[in-house]
Amino acid sequence: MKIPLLLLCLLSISAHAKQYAPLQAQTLDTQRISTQGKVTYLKFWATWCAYCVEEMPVLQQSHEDAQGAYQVVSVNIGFNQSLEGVKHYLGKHHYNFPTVFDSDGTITRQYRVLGTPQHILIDAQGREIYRSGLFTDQLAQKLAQLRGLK
Amino acid sequence: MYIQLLKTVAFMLFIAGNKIHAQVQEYVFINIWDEYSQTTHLPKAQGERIYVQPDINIDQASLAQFKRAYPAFENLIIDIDNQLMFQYQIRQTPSRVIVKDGHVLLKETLLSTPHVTTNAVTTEKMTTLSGKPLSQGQIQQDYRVLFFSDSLCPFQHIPDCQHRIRQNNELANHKPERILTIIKPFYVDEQSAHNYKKRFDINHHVVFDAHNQLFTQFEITDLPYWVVQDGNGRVIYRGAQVPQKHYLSL
Repeated sequence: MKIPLLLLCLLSISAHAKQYAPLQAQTLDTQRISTQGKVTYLKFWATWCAYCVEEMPVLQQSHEDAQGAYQVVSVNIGFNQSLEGVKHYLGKHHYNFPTVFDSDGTITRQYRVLGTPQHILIDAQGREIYRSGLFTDQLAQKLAQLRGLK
Repeated sequence: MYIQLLKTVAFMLFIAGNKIHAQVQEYVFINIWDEYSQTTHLPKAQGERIYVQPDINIDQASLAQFKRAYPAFENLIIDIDNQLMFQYQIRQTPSRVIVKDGHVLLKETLLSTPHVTTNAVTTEKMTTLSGKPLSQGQIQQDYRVLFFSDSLCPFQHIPDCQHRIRQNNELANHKPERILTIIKPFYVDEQSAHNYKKRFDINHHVVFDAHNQLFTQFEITDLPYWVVQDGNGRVIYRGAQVPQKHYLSL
């Protein structure tokens, strides 16, 4: 009886895990990125969002630490933003993580993002592993686990 | 999920109702967080004017607070799931769209004027809300538990905040003089910190970190968040889990 119950629980969990179609996009420096088959840390942000800007050094660090364990994709939500303004901001601070400019809001909508910042971790199958509004200890721990540190 | 569904249905009924009763609708898209610091120049209305807040960084409590501060926006609605934003391809605020019988007659970006602010160099000393002066040395000596919090609570980016504030209050019941709550300055002013203290019935010292210096110094990215320091100001615990009571006696 216990095994079917466990199976039911697992099925129930997997049935509720949000899964997204692979994201295919072009970054600001014209590189093609894809989430297909890759553990991806997505960060949605805007330059007018004070919390987002404050967290940017942490995002850069996460990108530098990744070492192939996951990929970082930053998504500027494009609302009240300009492409040139975003490029200028990233260049000024020497941030070099892959960034996508969501000019029409499609990506933001696809991932049901209604606030900034928004951190989403998805597995290689596109299932959402974790989501938070801020860069939490839990998120740091999950990224460390992916790198095999904890 | 059902609440979200109900909100969407209510929003659609609202929009449909307006379409039935008025042939020309004028949707004015504003962002309340910008409106606090700049004023949108509103041209003469060319139909029934409906103010629309994009569904980004917004909740009903923040909307209500804005309407109280700016009664002219009394009929401001949240564009649930950004349906109108997508329908009319609005990516900038303030903007307006004039629609007649479902057809867009005009879509334009509106002008806004920033409120005048002074950039005077701030040299004021940090004090608690009750006026006690605070220096870095005093923060290290006088307090064992630093509780970093946000007066926007409850809000979507800090989902567990009310629970953690309650936990901190319970901790503070033992030795309130050993705990300092530090309030994030983003998008709020000191009055908001006073309101927080009253709203959550805080019995210990609270400081409004006007220049975000304590948040920066302690590298806080998660909220609400605890930092515990020993008598020498050395950090011995940091985390989103409430620290144990014995730390207060160190």
